[in-house]
Amino acid sequence: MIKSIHPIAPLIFAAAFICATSAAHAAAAPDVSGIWWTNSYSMQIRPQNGGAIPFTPAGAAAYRKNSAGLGDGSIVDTARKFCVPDGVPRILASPYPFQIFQSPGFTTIFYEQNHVIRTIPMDRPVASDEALAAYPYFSGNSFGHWENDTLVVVTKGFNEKTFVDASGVPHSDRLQVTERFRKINGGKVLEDVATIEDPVMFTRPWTTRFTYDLHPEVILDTSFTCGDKHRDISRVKGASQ
Amino acid sequence: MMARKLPFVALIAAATALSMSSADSETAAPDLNGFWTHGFSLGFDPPPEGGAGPVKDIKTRAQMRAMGQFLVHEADTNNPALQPWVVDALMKANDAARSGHRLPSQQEMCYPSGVPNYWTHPLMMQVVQTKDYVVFLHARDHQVRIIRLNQQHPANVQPSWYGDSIGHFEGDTLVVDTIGLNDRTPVDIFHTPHTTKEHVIERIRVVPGANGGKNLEVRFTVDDPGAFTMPWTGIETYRGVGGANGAHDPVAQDNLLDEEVCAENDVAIGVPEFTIPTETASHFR
Repeated sequence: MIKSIHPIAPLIFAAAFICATSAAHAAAAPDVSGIWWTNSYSMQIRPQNGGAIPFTPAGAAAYRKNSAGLGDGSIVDTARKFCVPDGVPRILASPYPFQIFQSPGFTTIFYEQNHVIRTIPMDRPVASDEALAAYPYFSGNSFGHWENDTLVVVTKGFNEKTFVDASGVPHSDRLQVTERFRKINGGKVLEDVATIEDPVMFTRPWTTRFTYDLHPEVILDTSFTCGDKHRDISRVKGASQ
Repeated sequence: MMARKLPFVALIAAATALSMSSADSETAAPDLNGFWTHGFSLGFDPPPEGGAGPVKDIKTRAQMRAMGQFLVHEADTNNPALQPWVVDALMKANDAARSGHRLPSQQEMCYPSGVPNYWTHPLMMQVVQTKDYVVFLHARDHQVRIIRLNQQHPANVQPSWYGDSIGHFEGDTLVVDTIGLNDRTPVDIFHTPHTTKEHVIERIRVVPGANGGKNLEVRFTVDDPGAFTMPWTGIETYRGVGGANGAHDPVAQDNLLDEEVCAENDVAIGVPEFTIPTETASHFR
């Protein structure tokens, strides 16, 4: 597409884009970096305002199958047994702490559980489904930008090896998750409102919400390994070890 | 491993300039941000000025396995820094290599690599640098080290795969001090063991690379009175990834870190007797 326009046009666009971005940064100085830790855990991720997940018939059938299989052991929860990444949004429910870093051009989230990383390039166009077809990842492919004080992250390009939550809510490779991160309560709490779309499994997008407390005293352990003793998470309501 | 090419190359030059200026103004420190890589390690380089150095390769052979070809290394056990029990361990690894039953490395079995073995990872590494942290993110099995800048070690560091790392800048060099390492990793590709007494100082800086590009030089000194007769020094060098015409530009804006999940690719090792980390105790669901 770019080849069909004047070669200087992309540079003009880029310069304008960067000026706008720089101005936004200077004015708002948005910041969601820090060490964050939930105080409650549920194996179920459910719509923010109550109600049921809007499953398609295929989604409902897949959920019944996953729930039964996880219950009787015929389906292995590889994220727990072999420490592969939980995927998004399941990792958002993790009862372990995580840390957000903001560096030039990137926001990076490191989750202690399974030492999962999400590298989020900032202010790049969201890649097309075709471009992402070669990168079907557990954690998907994320693209971020700021809307005032809110970090908006679009994640797509997933494999089909993860569940939406620990109860086995299914997703297809057409899953797209749009997250809106912002600090609330004077910066002591991080809010992540995630909208989940998957036309194969859900009849419409649905939104869920997570909050995390700031824990500057915590030092993240990057050595999380299946079979090892892990951090004590007894302080997290609903998480039992 | 090649840099990923997504369709937004028009932003490369201008965005790169922005990244550089932002880093300079925000950190006022040498900028290590960007993407770096090297190929499969054949052993660390010795310090050019001489002195005690790393274990070196005396014979590398390619070994065919069901899943492909693998390099098998035989270590020089005459390194004067090695204590007798370490020499014994290396001779066993050499015997295995000669017999065709090479020992799988912790890295291949999807365990964390430890320090300085972390620097033997092939594939891409991203460095994320902020005012308070330098983070090393390796694509291979998403292995991460977080360096806390201008902080102290906690009072009671419990041994772990990556220990506790603190750092500070000395001129153009990031100096990292790591303690609290467990004894479950080798220090290198030859299965050279270490103990929990290991203390590693790394000195990391950007140096000129080929074609006007940049390299990341990682120079480290290992001090472990439980395994070595004297501290020894090794060097690993990464080149910047990306940029036009092989410029080795680590902040080329089309770079992204691939996701490479070891437990999904365990067959690549080609050694039948290995096991990957598996949760056995009850854990939350």
